[in-house]
Amino acid sequence: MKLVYSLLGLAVSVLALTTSVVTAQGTRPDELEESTAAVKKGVITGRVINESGQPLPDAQVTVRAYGSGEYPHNTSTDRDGNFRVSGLRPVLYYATASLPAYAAAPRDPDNTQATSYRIGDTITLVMFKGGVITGSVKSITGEPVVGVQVRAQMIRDGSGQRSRYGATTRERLTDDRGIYRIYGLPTGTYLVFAGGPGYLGANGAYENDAPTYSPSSLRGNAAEISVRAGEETRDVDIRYRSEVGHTIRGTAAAHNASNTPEAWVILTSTLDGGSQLGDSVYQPLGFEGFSFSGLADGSYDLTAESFHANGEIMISEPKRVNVRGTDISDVELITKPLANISGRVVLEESKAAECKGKKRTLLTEILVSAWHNEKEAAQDQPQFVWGLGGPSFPNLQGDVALRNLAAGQYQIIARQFAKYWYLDSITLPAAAATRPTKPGEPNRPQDAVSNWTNLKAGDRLSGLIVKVAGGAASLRGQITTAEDATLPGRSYVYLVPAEREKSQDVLRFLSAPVSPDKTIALHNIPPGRYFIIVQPALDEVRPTLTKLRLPNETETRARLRREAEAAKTEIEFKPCQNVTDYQLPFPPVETANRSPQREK
Amino acid sequence: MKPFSHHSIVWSVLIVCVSCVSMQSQTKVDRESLNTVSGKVTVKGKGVSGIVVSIRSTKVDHRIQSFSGRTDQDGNYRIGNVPRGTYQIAPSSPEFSLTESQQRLLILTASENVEAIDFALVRGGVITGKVTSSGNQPLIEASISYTVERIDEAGIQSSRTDSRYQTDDRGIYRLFGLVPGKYKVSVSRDVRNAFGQTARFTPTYYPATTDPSKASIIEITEGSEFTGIDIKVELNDNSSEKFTVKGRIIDGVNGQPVPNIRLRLEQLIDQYGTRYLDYLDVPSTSDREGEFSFEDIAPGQYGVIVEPSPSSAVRAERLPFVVTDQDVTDLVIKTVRAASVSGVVIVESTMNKAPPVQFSRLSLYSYPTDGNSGGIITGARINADGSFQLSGLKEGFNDLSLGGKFGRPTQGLSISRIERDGVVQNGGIEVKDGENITGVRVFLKFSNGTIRGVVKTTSGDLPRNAQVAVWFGESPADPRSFRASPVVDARGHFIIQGVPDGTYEIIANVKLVDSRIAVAKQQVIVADGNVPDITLIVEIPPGPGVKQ
Repeated sequence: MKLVYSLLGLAVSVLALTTSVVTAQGTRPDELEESTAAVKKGVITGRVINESGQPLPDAQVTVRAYGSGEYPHNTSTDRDGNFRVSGLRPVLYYATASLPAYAAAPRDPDNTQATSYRIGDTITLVMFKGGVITGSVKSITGEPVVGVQVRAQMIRDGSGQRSRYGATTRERLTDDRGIYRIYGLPTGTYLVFAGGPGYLGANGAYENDAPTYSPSSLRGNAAEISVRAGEETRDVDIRYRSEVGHTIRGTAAAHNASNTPEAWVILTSTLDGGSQLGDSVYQPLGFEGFSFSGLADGSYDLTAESFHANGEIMISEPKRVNVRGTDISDVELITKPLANISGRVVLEESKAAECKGKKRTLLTEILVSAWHNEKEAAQDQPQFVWGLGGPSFPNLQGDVALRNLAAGQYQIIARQFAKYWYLDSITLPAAAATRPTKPGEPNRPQDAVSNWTNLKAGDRLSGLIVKVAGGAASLRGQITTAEDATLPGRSYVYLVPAEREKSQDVLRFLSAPVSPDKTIALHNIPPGRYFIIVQPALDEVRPTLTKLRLPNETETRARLRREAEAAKTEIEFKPCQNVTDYQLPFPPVETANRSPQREK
Repeated sequence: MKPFSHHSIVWSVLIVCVSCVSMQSQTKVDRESLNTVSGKVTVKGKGVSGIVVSIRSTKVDHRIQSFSGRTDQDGNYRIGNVPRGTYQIAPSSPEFSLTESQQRLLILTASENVEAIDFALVRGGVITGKVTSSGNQPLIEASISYTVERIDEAGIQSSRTDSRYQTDDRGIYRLFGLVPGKYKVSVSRDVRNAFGQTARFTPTYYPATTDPSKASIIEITEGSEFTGIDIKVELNDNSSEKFTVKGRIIDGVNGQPVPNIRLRLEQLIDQYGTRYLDYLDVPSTSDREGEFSFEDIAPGQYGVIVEPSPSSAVRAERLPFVVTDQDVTDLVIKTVRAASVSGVVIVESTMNKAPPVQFSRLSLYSYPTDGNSGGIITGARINADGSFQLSGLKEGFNDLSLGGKFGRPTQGLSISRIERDGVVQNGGIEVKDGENITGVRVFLKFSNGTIRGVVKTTSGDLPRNAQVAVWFGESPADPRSFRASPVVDARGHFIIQGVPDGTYEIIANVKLVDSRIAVAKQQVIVADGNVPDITLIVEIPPGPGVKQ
């Protein structure tokens, strides 16, 4: 069975970043000045296991560099579930595994382990036996419908969250009895439908039909099928309606060319919300357009996308089309360039004596990304555009470019993994950021982490400076609970900058989950003074650190600061200091001793 | 003169990812040329209802169009509004199988009402079972293949192989719509999806043998069902062992090490009698001592190839080797100085309104004409100004062909001739090792003309079961320029595509069942890519014993 992302086209490779990055724990040897043999040979090793730790042989593993058009490195696991790829360059990689009937473990927001790997890393990828949906497809007169494609599309994941773009769909054909069986599904809520334009395209008998959803309806009244990993959901039958769908025809044109370009046209249904099952068709160069058939009544967005040899993508504004009982023709889409941000990554060595001899971070192992503002972006607009501008790493000179960013608001963020280094700041010239410069105000660089940067189609921003500094500290320790106190579930330890001038610097806000044995660990801490406090996780779905640092979470940070200041537990980190055996009382001693009267 | 697109092999080599997505596109529908197709679907002579009959255009320029109709109570179907084009027509009823020798090709030229495209079906047989390993574990998504030997109505014995089926998550498979005959069922791991490394067992036949001659035979009759056709597979646990392959690359003349050469591996896949080379993405670069190594290589047959690069002045023959149960450490690749050809591409157009050409979306390919190149095709991008450089060429005659990027269309262009120092190079450009040929001019012509036509007899439609071949060529004086039209349907309709502007001669050859042959000729002119539809009328000679 093929795994097909809900949106096709070349965007798939980028979407893979967000969808099948399986839960993984990367282990790294401690930062030694000397490179290990594995680093020298460019090796990443790992293991694929199931949820109970059993090795999974014959899994296909793909190790791919972020932000590059390079070939992926493919391998498969041996009988002990181990894999190894070699000959890798020192950049950052992500790894995916696939095994028939298995699904990747969903990303746990409390797992702060990296999903990007450096050469020399050892990766563990966890997969589990997926769920099954099975049933039959019969005609209105009760005859089996043979060889029709049935597709299961996830609309909400196991935690009840609406599927994001790139949610998986899987499909199968019915057999001679009209029976289908779709397996390897991650836990979640699905829609199941037969017919319509499809990728299996067995014989073309049903591809002009509008899809029939289980039990026998159009999309609006489709039954929601709940699936649990490892379990079978049976009798998901479809009474096939055999209704001819409608057609949308049109042309994609480039804004600066007279002939019709080679383009991919992507159709997304507004009904399907964030997951947006789509279909994608190709308009060859010089031909007279594109067409989609087998469409049920409903609202759709059409977006044209064309790819250039230099890696740049042109895209059209999404065009909303309402199909109401008739075919639609002459839809015109005009592709325009996407936005780019370029700049440099600079390294600032620490002068502190403690940092002497510590391993430098490698420029090419620093990953810079632009995250779009999910709150600001309309939920029914095509979501695949946010996956086009993947993360990027700088060249050996430090030049970096974030390309193919759709119009919207972005936070610029960077990750690096060298133990004694930290992300100090990311700035853009002020004119580029959201806040307009007041007359007379100097055009100072603006913090691109704590402010959204507005991008319009075709924008070319330059002057991005990502500063990564040496001297990072680390903290290991334990939460000590008072006798009558219990630590709430999903607790996090937070660091809040204590120095006045750093109080607005979101990169000085850090967090990490408190593990079940109450141990805590924080890495890549900028040296300085902090308040430290234990608080619940900030979000059900997103990683807490991600939310903590969002530009529009100023209130969250202000609240945390008030509470941390009240708790009065301070900690200072010297450059390259590794604080170990730190004891943090819960609840904070000061607060616990305070009487209610004194608090007034 | 070399007419038409040179070689189609390049095309098939280059079709990469584009085919994994359904692609559609549509030219404006010419209302005047819509066709209607109708016929009847029968089982044992009786019409069957509810069968979907589909017409699908063949894949020309990545466009797929489909139309379908459903049979009524009497088994009759009717498909309307079908634009002109070349199609495959068939009932979409995989639980049935077609009786033999039914023409499924349909070329629709003008506004026609095509009738009596009938299909006789038989209820197919079913074979189902479970595939497990020796440890009783189900084998998931293993490929199931069958070979069938059968004798058709005409008494002709035939065999065919199909491997579209897979086991599901329980190891269960179900083959259906099987034509009556004697079946052997086997299981294998689909190597193509497994990076050539996870085939942990040899193809195994029902019930549990790797020897095809010992496979149990299942005799399928019309509508019969065989259950419990379970296959046991012996997993070979050693095959997941991996080895290191090392060697040196040295100059074939002076024996000095050659550093900085990018090398890649190809694996020879041999499955069900089909052998092909699978390009593995395992790069290695030779170091200062000319040494290279590949790690984690599974047992199998391989070849090391020197990656052609525009900057590389050397090339080497593919070096085959075998990995069995230990490291391979003694490979020696000897380089020779590569030749290169550079020049410019020029479009010559006689068309009044030639479409714009984007050179940067085209590539030139060079391949040795000696016929046993070992699959070495060198490609080079054409720059925006039409200039190109092909490097890493082999000594001998090298012919050129044009391709679109990523297997995409060539914008209607093909090579019309190649000139070196003003001399037309028939049969390729001759190069010597180390020679750098410059100033080659490659002339391109638009070849987007289409000639459609029909072959008829003086008394009307072609007799049933007549074999029709259509030939066409540029000049009657040069028989070498003649070639067969790739498609002629049962009604005598034909289509010739990708024709440059020019004057051509069309020859229709009709062979009747009793071996009588009739021939007709006609001249056509393709201008601006257009040509009127033509009709070739053959006069059937009187048969033996037929009085005039």
